[in-house]
Formats: sequence, structure tokens, C-alpha cells
Amino acid sequence: MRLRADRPKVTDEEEKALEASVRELSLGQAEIPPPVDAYWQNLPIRINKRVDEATSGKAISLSWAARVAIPGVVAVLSFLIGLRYYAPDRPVTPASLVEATSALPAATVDSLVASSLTVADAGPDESITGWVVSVPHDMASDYLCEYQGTSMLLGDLSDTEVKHLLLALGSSPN
Amino acid sequence: METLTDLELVDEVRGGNRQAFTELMRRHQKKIYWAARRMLGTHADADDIVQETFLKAFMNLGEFRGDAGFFTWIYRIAINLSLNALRKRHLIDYLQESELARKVFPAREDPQKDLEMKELESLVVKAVATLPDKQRAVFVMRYYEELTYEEIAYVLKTSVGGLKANYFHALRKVQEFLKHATAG
Repeated sequence: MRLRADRPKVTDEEEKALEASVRELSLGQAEIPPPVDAYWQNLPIRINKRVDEATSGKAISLSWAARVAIPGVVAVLSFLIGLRYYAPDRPVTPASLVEATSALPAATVDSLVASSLTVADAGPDESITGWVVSVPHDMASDYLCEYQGTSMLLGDLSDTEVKHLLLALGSSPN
Repeated sequence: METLTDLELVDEVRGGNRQAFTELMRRHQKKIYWAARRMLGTHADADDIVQETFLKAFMNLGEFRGDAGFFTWIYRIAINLSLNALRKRHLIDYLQESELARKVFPAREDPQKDLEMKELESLVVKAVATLPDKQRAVFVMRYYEELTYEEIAYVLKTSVGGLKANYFHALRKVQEFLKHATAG
């Protein structure tokens, strides 16, 4: 096997002889038809047009960066810095349930307790009130007797609520 | 403008003188065109390559340091673009040969292809078209443009050593092709 390095080198004379032979063989052969003169005159104009398009695209992207991208980045950074340094401090501990309930108006608390009585027997999925506020019957009756009075309750509550309330108080609706 | 050298014109272009760039194009467009045409065979492809070459040259003029002449620099761009176009053409030819492509894209009349085939009627063009890409590039640069091996090595970013052998093989193949064609 002959190695690549052993390959005989081509001399200048061999190359010239072969080249001359090719030129001779190609004599009289059809040449590639050249473009018309107008083509050469228009070619620089067309290329210049493409250069203009390419460079104006660059200019647009630069102006876009100046008008949109840079102000946008500054705005986002300002917002993030503001959020980090100027946002009001959150309370260390959140308000307890007791504090939250105390802040409610009395009528709302009464309504929640009464609703709790109404839905307690119907199951936990019947009403959001039953899920959020679930007061034992005896505690509810004590609360209502102490803070409201039966006459007021009877006037404000629905028939179902009255029925459940009286059951809780140990009386019959009739 | 006509009296300025290429390097002086390049300095003018860098200073924002577009007339200088037009003068550079006028000086070199024909050589670039014919190199691309001989590499690729058709006018349409050569026209694309000339436009791309000068566009690329303008956009990358900052990279031109002047160690080689301006013409050699843009010639290198043109040859590289032509070699890339040949690669794409081979890929397209290969894909079109596949069974799947024949099913998805059934054969149809292609006027552009017909035109290309007509242009390939020149025997020498046909012969050059049979050469592998690198041999084709070396053949075009040496046979038609008569570049030195040092210049060809710069354009193809390769050593001078293998180029001589490449050219010799290319000459032999073209000679064989022409002998067969003229004998038949």
C-alpha cells in the first residue's frame, strides 16, 4: 500500500501540459453567454438599494432600542427597586380570628351564628357559612339569649332559622 | 474616484462615502460574477452571489485589515458563498431523490430548471459541474482567474500543498470529460 506522502508530486511542466490540453479541447466549444451591458450598469444600483435596506434596518433597531427597550428596562428596574425599598412593611403577625370577628358589626355576627344553626344539620357542603362558622347549638343559644332576645330574633329570622333556633333552645316551634 | 486605489476607496467608504463603494463594485463586479457563474453554472445563482458578496463586504468592512488586497478579500467571500450554495444544492438534490419527497412533492414542470439545463449545454460548464466542490473552486480560480496557489490558499483557508494535487485531478477529470464528449 502506498502512503499519501509517497504520492509522486506533480511538476509544473506536467500541470502546464495538462492545462494546455484542456484549453485545446475546449476551443470551439460553446461559451457561457454573458449578461447584457444593462445588467452591469444596474447591478451596483441594486446592491446599493440592498445596502440601504440593510443599514436602515439597523437604524430602526437602534431607534427602537432608544425609544422602547431602554425606557422599558429602566421602568421595570425602577419598579423592582421601589418594591424592595419603599413598599409598606407587612405586620409581623397577621390578625387573629378573634380580632377579625370583633371587628365585624354585631348584626353580622348574629346572622352568622343563626345561619350556622340552620345549616349545621344539613351537612358541611350546603353553605359556605356552615363551613366557615360552625357554632355548637348550646353555645349559640346562650349567645342569642344573652345578646338579642327572642322577640327580635323572631322578627329578623326566616321560618327555618326560627325552627332550628327553637330546637336549639329546647322548645317546640308550635 | 477612478484614480484612487482600492485601499484608498475602502478608507473613503469607512468615512461614509457611498460613491467610493459604488466605484469598488464597478471595478470588481465582473470578476466576482464570473467566478460565481463558473462555480454554480447559472446566471440567477451568480447574480445572487454577487449581491450577497458586496452586501456582506459593506456590512463587514470593519473586519478588512488590508493584509490581503480588497479584491482577494471579497473574492474569498464570493467563493465561500458559492461553496455554501453548492452544499445547499447537494442537500436539495439528495432530499429530492428520497422516496418521501417524491410522494409529498410530485414532479412538475420547472421553467427555472429548464433554463439551468439549457445553460449547462456548454461542455466545459458540464465538465466543471462534475467536479467535487473543492476541486471545482480550485479549478475555477486557477484555470479561469489564474490566481497563484498562495492566493487560492488564502481564499480557501488551506495550505498550498494539497492545492496543486487538487488542480491536477480537476484538470484530468475535465480533460477526460471533454475527450469523451467530443469523441461521441
